[in-house]
Amino acid sequence: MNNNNSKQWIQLTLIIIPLLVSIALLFNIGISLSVTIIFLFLFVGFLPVCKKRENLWMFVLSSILLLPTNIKATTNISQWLEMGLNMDLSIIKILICCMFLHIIICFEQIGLGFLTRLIWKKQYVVEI
Amino acid sequence: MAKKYPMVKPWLEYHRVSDDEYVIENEIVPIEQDDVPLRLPAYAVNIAQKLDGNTNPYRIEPSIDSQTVRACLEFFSEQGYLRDRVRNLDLGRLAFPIVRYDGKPYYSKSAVFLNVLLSLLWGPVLLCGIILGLEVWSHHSVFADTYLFGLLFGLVVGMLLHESGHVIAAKAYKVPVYEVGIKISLMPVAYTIMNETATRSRFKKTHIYAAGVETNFFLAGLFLSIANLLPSEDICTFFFYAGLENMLLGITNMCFFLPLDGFKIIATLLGADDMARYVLIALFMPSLWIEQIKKGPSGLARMLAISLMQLMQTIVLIWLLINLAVVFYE
Repeated sequence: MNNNNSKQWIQLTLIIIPLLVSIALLFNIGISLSVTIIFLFLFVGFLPVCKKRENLWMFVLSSILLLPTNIKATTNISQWLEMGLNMDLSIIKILICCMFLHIIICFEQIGLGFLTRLIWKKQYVVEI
Repeated sequence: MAKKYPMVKPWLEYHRVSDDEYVIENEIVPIEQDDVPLRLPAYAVNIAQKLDGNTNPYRIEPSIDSQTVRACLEFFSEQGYLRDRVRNLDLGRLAFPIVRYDGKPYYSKSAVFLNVLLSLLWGPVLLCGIILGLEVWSHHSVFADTYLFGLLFGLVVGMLLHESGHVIAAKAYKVPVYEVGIKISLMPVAYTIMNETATRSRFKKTHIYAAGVETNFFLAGLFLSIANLLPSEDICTFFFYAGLENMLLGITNMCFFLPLDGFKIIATLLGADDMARYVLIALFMPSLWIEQIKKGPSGLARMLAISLMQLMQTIVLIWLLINLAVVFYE
């Protein structure tokens, strides 16, 4: 069991690769998002540690791997707030960006969660 | 139409504990109960199950004398098993049902039809509404004084039709629905009482939770499209802001805040039906991390998921701070 666990921990270190790729492709949010999502599905589909817990791992991994893209999108919004709405008060801008970040994370998680459930129907229940 | 006879809350659950004894529990609308539920004889449970507001309690079981029936009714009233005629006291003194159902799951063709129609149409209607709404905004014809009325209209209609979306989806999937109403707490919110555990399918449960948001997005698209078609600036502004309000309601409900639909959707998709309990427990049990990590990477994933959900609860704080900052800035 310990051997199995240590193998699973080693598998998890592989998430560094898509994280670096996601950061490297940040010049174009669309490409970064698409490539990261493809990596996510490949990880969740092929890594043995994710077997039967695809939705749980998709939720956790997407929060980490999509963070650079989401932050980039939020900074774009921040620039739009400054230019489009002439909003120069930084505290309101920061709070609206946090709200926007929260909203995009919610939409992404629900969309990815739904697709993951469609593909992998039979999974273990998440219990503590 | 008002019911003539007493009515027991249809969402109560009856659990057999011995040959002739049951306990009644309020699991769908859980309330704090100090005492352990009392054991009831089978005949009392038989009477309780048949008290639907249209049945004379003294004619349910001819073999039971009227004194016993009266004692049963008094007992049910003391224990809070009877439905109040005006309010839903389980949800607080300011919860007012608008529509009451008997909770019997039956196949409804119209519900299935409406459910499928809503699922197919909400996306295209919303997209159409956004495109037409942007056109209206760019022509600067949405600055009349009727915007406040539009926001209010959008909020009221959006809240009520949001709940009707849940009801339609629940009836389409034969999930018992008991009540739709309005509860006044910090602000008026609409509620639906239903028993989602009646279906084991995660898709059906997710769809029932998402149906409310689908309705709001559909209404947003509809109102924004209507705003584009109207020549008068007042009515155009009215519908434009009603559409915006519904868009806001839909987006807000998708957030992962505990009482909202988004939380329930993601908990169902994750397979964590008790996510609400885990989010609260994990706050007060930091040793849970060590315990879970010892189980392996899946344990770590569970705790990370719960921590992320806890972090998402801060959305309320952010929203409050935005409002405070706007007030002070102005």
